[in-house]
Amino acid sequence: MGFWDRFRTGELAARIADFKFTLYLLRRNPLVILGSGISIFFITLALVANLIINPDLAYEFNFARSYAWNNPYFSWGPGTATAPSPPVNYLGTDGYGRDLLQMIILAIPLDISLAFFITLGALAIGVTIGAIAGYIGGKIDEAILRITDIFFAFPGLLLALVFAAIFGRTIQNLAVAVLLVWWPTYVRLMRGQVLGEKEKAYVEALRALGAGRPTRLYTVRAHTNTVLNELVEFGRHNRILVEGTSLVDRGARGFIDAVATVRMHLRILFRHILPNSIYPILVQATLDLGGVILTFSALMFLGFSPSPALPELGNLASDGIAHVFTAPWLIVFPGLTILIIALAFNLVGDGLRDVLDPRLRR
Amino acid sequence: MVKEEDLIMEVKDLRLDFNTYRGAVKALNGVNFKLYKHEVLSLVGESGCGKSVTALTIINLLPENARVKGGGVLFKGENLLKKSREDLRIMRAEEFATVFQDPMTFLNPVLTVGTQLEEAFMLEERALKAATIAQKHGKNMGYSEFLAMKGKEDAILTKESQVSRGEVRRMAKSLCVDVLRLVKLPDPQRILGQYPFELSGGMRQRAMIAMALARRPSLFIADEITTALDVTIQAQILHLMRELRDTIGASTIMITHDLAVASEIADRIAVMYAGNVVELADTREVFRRPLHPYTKLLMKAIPNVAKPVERLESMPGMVPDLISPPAGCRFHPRCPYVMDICPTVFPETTEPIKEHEVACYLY
Amino acid sequence: MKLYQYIIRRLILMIFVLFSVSVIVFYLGRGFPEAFDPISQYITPKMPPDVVEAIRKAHGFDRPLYEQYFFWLRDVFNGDWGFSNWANGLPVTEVFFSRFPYTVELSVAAVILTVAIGLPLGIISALKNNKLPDHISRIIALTGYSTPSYWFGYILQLIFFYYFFVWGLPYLPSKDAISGSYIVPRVTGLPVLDGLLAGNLPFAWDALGHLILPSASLAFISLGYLARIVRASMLEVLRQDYITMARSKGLKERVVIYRHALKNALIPAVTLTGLFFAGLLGGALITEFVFQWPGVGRASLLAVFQGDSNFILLYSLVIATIIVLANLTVDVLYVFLDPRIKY
Repeated sequence: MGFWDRFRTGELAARIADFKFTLYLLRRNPLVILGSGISIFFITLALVANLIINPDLAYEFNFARSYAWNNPYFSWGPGTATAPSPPVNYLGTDGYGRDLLQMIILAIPLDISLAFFITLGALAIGVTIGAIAGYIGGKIDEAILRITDIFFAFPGLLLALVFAAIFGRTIQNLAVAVLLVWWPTYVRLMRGQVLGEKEKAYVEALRALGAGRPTRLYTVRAHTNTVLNELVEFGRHNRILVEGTSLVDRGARGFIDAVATVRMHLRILFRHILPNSIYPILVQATLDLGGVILTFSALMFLGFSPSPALPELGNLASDGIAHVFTAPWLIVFPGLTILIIALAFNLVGDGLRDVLDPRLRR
Repeated sequence: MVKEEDLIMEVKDLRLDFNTYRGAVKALNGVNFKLYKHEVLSLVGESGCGKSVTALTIINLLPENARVKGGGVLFKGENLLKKSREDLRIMRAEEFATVFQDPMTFLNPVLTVGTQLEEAFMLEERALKAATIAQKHGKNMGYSEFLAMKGKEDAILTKESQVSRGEVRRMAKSLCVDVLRLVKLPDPQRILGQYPFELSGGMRQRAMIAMALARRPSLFIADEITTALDVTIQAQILHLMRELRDTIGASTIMITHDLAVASEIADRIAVMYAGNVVELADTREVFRRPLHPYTKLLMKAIPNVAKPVERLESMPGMVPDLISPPAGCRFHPRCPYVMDICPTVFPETTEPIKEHEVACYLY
Repeated sequence: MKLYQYIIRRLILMIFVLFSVSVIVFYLGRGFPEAFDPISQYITPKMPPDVVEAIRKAHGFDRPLYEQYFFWLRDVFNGDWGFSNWANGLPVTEVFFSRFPYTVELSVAAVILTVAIGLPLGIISALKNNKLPDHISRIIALTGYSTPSYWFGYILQLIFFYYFFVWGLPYLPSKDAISGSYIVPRVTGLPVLDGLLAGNLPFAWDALGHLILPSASLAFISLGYLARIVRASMLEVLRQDYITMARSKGLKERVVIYRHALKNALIPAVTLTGLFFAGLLGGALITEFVFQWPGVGRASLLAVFQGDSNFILLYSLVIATIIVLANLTVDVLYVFLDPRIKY
């Protein structure tokens, strides 16, 4: 009939209709629209920031500050910071006369991309481990639970600090440090979901049907082992179970059996259980986007940035610590930017949580 | 036989919509029936025909997206739909009692049975005070006396009598024990201290009935109270209801989808379909001479133990979608006697046989 | 199984968790001498290299790591956690426990504020669901939740300390827990309480003044979260059948909410608050830093910067113990709150 029929009937169609319903509910929530609007604004800004700011400015910025950092005789700092005075500079300047507004815009790409990468990383690791723990159960589940317990017992920020202090202050290390704090949440979340779904009837049905298992069984008589092995290989790739009569292939058959079982479990896990449990994880991830930015910038603020030249919002704010009262704009504006970004993500996440709650949907 | 002066409630042309995402669900399409004193009227119909909704409308416990689109509910002469929420709340405390379907979810899991029962009694502090005073004067105050006192409290309370709150609570507690005994629950004292999940399904249902009794209602609504129970317990509960009927003297609306249950306990049966009452008559009359095509098909579908058949009868078609229901008589797509006039406008209720009402163009 | 068996089982697990934490922290703290050289706490810059070597040998810092761990364990069981050079060479236990009461004071104040504002906010949000109060409280909650804690601390200081001063208004202090020295006897270690206990009202008042800004800063960020949780569970509960039943009894709406709904809805909120309090006891590092609060969090920051692994070990283990115990307490509390739960 056509390519588009896939989308009109069947499982895919049901999911699309569900998705449309979600969008409808979201549209009715003004705060979510606001949040999404702001998020999109900032993400676009992140993508184009390096284009709209004078690239030479970025260079000078880096150069001057690294110079100052490496030079023990040069006392650097916002000594000559000037207050906001539009239209020359809207948000004031720092000690080098750099326009704070431009520096903030430069810093946004780093923060936002880090937020996404760290969240996605934590999500990927946490969800995989959690799924395995929940699905397999038993000792492995216990072990994984204990490990997450240990991580939860750690004071998070301290762990990140210690990690950063040891492994050096590069962005990658700091990102890994923050990731270490965030991933156990996803393990718990996913495990809970999988445990719940596992008991449901459809999983049992799928297992009975042998989802992912070989569909056809052929008994073949072959003259030589070589021919038989070729056929077994062929069968393996095409989900056909080939049985032979020689002794050698019993090992091959056992192997195929094992592979088939693993494929079945993986298929159930990823094609059926995972999409059904994705909602709370999605909500958590959106909320975590804001949280990660807050944590990461807090690390920078405490002085763990690789260099003072790094354009990052927490780093910019840390300049102003010693001069809170004389040059408040140095802290106020970068912090305000972080607040707005985190707020935007949280609005979307919160609205999503309200909307995706299965019991609130009619 | 019913007398007009015994009329206690009349539902007239009640129309109700639910606003949902997919459109307005026209749940009630002009429901009509009358309820008389001391009788048991059973609202029978399949799931979704609007029987529970009717009951909830009467006591005003509808969800937020419900909109009454017309009609009225006259209770003792007053239109309930026009009353304020506070007035209705007081009426719920003093006149209406409802027992619901699934006692597990309808009882608060973190409060003891005793707490939940006591608060039903404590709603009418005046009555309790009067009861305490009467007891002080030597009258024995069990539940039956309490029941008899209904309406006469003012006579006792006009005196300047002081009763402490503690004494009122003790009265309430003793009445709790009494009423639990009335619903045949063993060891009432212990049950008062237990939580709902510690009781069995049948016991929970009896506890709910006790909570309903505590308010000495004039209207008793039982919403599918036997559905969540297994058959033996069902029989016990129905037996209990029959006994209590004479004791309490309230009018009962018994909502069920099970004709057998209705036949056990109801004086009159109102058959509902897709938001309308399509037939209303005495129980025996409905079973002996069903008039409406829907009722006739229902009767045919009941398997007869005496005459086993090879295939069970069922009805053609499906329950209509209430968002875009069939025009006119909502049963016409499935009706074997459908005529041209049926899809036009909903038929008026007529009374072809004395005290046997039908809403169908055949009559 | 019975309750005390469950508790014992959890305590055993706790010991296991603590051991694991200690191993991990030990490895991080001693295994990387470039960052955390353990010797740094015992030497001064003026010592000649051979003295340094002798000290190193004496403490066993040249031994392999697992041997060091056992030495450390032995010392710890004798109560010796080492010394902190940056804190005037005091023993680590004293450094920690002299600062801990201040953190407790801050945590208690923050929790009180959070619950006092967050709880009603959540309930009102649930009752007026999707109407104006709900939207307003949602914005407040989310804003609080998105605020960088360091930024908010400074904003508060800017307004209530600096600008109030400039404008001639009575201003709140922006750092430390008390001005001046500790003139009342140290009963609990919490300045406000000690002042009250000693009847020295000006001291207590002063301590209270110092307490307001940092606890407000902490509370603002977390009350939003509490309010959302309360709202969510209230909404869930209000949808339950037994609420319809309670209403059908003719109970006043207020009674329905307070007696029937709240008791069910507050269970998750209580557990959350308990865990939150435990987390705070770990020292709100950033807030303590911003307000120069003499608590355990700021001390840990200084320890990390100075490369003091002894203090970090003690700190991590104490915090881990608190968190695990808090989890256990909360789980046990569940049994009393929800009669359906039995172990």
